[in-house]
Amino acid sequence: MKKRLLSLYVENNVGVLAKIAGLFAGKNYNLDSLTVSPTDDATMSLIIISLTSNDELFEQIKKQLNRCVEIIKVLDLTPI
Amino acid sequence: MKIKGTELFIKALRAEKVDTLFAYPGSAVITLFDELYKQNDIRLILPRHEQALVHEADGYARSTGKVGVCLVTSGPGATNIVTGIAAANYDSVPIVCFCGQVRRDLIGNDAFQEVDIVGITRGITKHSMMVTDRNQLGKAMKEAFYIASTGKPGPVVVDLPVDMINEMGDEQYPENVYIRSYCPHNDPHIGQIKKAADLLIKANKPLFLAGGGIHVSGAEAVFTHLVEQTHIPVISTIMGRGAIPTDHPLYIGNLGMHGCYAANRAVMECDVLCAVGSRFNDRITGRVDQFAPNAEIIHIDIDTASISRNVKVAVPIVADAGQAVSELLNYAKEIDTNIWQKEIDAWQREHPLKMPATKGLSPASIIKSINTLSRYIVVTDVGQHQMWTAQYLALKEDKKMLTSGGLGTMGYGLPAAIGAKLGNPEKTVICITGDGGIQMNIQEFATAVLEEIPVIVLIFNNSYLGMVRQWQQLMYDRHYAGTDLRAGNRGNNRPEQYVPDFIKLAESYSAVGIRVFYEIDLTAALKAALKEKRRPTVIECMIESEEIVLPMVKAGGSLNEMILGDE
Repeated sequence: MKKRLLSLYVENNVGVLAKIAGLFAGKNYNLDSLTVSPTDDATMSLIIISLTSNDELFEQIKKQLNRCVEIIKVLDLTPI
Repeated sequence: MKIKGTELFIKALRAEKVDTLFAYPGSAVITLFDELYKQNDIRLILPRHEQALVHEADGYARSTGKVGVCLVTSGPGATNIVTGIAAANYDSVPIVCFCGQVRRDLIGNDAFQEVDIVGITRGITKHSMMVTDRNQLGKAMKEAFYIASTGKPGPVVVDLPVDMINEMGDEQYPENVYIRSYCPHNDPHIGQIKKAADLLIKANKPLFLAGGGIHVSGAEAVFTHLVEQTHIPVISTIMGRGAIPTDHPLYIGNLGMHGCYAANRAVMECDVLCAVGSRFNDRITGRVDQFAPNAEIIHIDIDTASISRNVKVAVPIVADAGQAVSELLNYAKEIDTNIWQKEIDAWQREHPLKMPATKGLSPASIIKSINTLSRYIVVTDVGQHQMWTAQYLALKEDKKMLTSGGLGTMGYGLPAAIGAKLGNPEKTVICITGDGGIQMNIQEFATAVLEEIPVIVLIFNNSYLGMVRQWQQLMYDRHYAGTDLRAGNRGNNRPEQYVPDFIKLAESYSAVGIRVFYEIDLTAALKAALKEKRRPTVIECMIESEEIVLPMVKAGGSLNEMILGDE
């Protein structure tokens, strides 16, 4: 188990946060914190998620997030 | 020029070459129906329930490769699609489902027939969206068709507020689509393909596992070619059955819970397993830590999230099944698998698939009589009959099977068969169902009769919800709680009273109904059914009540622990 940090660039659309929250809830993933902020580009938002998980689950979470149509980019910001 | 949203809707369907629309009206979509009334290019099919509506679009889509298109009203019309959408999502079926919605100013007000269908379906669709800006309607529809049909296909729900769709606005339907956050990639990584080919060439006991992805990708021919080039034996999931002809000398059978002995043995003994378009579902792996213990696994799948989720793989290849297999053909060589094949043949002879002899109709014999027909699509419901069909049905290029594999939706059979027949009027379409499953969407006989869709419906009547009863029989001391459909009449397949009487029921819909007890009657009934060109035929097959599906691996058990029934 390790602390992780993810940053997601997402479309600034209604329901994107619900989609991500629903993914975490539906698949029984746990997160420690979540923030949403605007970016320089009004059509895009930045979501930062911190969570604690093992390597396998973390891989799966990143893959599941990458599948979401409205998520533009998934970046792993976990300090090495 | 500006046009009404409803006009753009029809224009978009035409541009997407939609010839059949499965639709159920209501106040939120009545203007769309008015627009449909004014045109003749798109055939409007009116099912009798929205769940069946989506299954019909699903059967149409699976059997034609085109996108299945649905239109339902807001509120209950929308909530009724949920099961159909979830089934299509699980089995990667391209569907676009348009839902009516209340006026934009009423959303959130608990208005009459208002429901948050985008929210409800978020977890069971590939994508879902509400169009609130009339000038975005064309773009949204284009994106919906694009998302549904590319990459790993799936259902897309598009919610259309009634005032938006009635508004004047942009007349353009875009020709091209670009979504920055959605770029499906279908090409395999050549380095990975080479690694996979190397593993296969060095293997002593290589094995292909064919999954449903091969059908989704339309890669049956190229996959068969690869198998013939390499001489590697093939096992399949239920969804992958028919990826190579079932009478092919290198085809062994299905694996998993109701797989055949030789296939399950082969997976436990192989040293390299190459899975194509399968996500290693629990029903095929059994106890996952004991699955394919000696094998290095190559996994070809278009969905990155399927890779190394259930089983750890040595060589992941994220790509479209057809493209990956074509690429693999360039590097794969002939492998000497003679000794390995002989080993597998010995297992086949040791415990072949078979059913106990009976005076009456045995499920295997019913399916074998279907095998003698030509050019068919068999659509199953869910349960014992589905497993028997998956075990015994012969499949090849012009003999296909559609089944709800992932979600396991009872009630799928009849509507999906109707959809398949609409898409393939020249083929014989047979629905194999049970006395339980047929009653979940039995109202669709009306659709089939009025639209003159001559599907053949074979009801395997054992008077039970057979699959659950089988578990109760084997694991719960025959406590048949809630599984006896003819309560108090345990095991009697010649009851005094039929509830319902499927023959009278078929006749009440002006369909044909025939009840059969013996194989000879079945042959005659099938012959008569094949002659019907305008109406469906029900053939009710009275089978042994306590027949079970064997072999069986109990849920969570290892594939080594098969109940064979012939010890």
